[in-house]
Amino acid sequence: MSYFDVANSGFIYICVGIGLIIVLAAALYYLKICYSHALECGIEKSRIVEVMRSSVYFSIVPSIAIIIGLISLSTIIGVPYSWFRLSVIGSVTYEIMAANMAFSAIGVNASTATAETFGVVMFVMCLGITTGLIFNTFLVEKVHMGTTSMKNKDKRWGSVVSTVFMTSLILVLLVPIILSGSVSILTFVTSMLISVILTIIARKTGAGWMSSFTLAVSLIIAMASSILWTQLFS
Amino acid sequence: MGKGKKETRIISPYYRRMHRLGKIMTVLAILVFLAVPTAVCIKFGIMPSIKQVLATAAGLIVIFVPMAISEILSETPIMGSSYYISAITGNVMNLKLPAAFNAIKVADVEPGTEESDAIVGVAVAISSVTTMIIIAIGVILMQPLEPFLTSGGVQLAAKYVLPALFGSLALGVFGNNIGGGIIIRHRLLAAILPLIVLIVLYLVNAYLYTSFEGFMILITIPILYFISKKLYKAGKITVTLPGDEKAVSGAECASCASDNEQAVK
Repeated sequence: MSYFDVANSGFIYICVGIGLIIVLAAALYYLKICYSHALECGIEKSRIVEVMRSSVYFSIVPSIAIIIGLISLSTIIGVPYSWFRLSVIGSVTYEIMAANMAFSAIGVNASTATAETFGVVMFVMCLGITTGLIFNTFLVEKVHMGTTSMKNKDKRWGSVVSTVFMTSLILVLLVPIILSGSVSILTFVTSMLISVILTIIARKTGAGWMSSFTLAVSLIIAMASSILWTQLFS
Repeated sequence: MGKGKKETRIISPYYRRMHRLGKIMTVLAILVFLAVPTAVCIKFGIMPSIKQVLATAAGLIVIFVPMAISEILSETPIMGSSYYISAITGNVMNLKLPAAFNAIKVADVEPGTEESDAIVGVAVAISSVTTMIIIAIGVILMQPLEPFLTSGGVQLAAKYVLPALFGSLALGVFGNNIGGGIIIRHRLLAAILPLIVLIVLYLVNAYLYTSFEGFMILITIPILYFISKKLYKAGKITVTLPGDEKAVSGAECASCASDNEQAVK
């Protein structure tokens, strides 16, 4: 059997399907627990539903971008394992980098690889990122509880601290957006403007339901605008 | 806290339960992730030797372990106990973090509280389920969809998903209202120096910057933290809690002790 005979075999589809059902069940169970606790905390049901609706709407478009990455990745490791890797744990950038690193370490490429190579590639891609997951089991709680206790010591200062992490993250992501060309920054600004406009409309008309759509609509219009900005400025 | 005294940290039953659940889910996920290649290799008789796998994976592990640790340190304070499920379901930067930001904003809860932890959990779980369903649909319809998805316009738009996502989210993160009725004024003054540092680092080596964004976040957090503290103590950053008549800064916060007692209660 060749590399792609194994990589695209029906058996892998079955294994991947079972694996995904287990992860999906875990996510649904987690959702149930968080939902119940949000209600216990006194958050109104309508507000939780709004968060759920908003999360669904805005997740659709980036998920389509992941499918585009899946098409590229499937040319390296076949469709079913790409489907598995991108539905759980990984991201397009990591998976393509991991697959290519595994190939170069073995000294082959997708066209010269054998069925045995596929076995090595699968395990190597799995080990690279799964090793990181092991650290979650003993680091996440310490970090989380450390930052939470910092907040409990001084409520005012704790509120400032809680914004430090989010602001740091946005600053780090913002710099490549600002500096990687006019199309990127114009797409960013478009998204921001659409968001402001939608928020103002929602506030003026009293249409609170619009907040569920703000992120999704801003995302789609800003992504579409990138085509226009590319034609105008690239 | 006096010198030499060990701080006793009280963990609420909710957090204890969520962290235990997260750890169980992580172990379960690791087993599932390993089971798929194991089953395939046994079925096709292509099981590689452990030595070969470790030799090939060493380069990846060297890169990804420090990255994983830096991501835990930088993203856990935002994701809370949902970090476990986020890491299991992947796409943290382009889906789970935006989901967390958006949930905090839409629910108007204060970050770092049990309320926000629960609401972030709802958003992350629902986003994971949505993504898994959409990708499954994409796989089923891959052949008919491929010409559309690989068309120039769609590929180009997909390249700009991050600026399009964070443009809308940045407004909420940079605004004065941080959720839960808490207003913090002038906190962005503290972001000026870290922003300059990041711009310089990006200009020095853009590839390294984008490859190790987790490390960049780790560099930024302490700088922003200490500048924020200085400005808060100097009275430049002011905080208005629900029920306050006016904004209060660290310099004039004589009632912090009672605030703390209330917060703990």
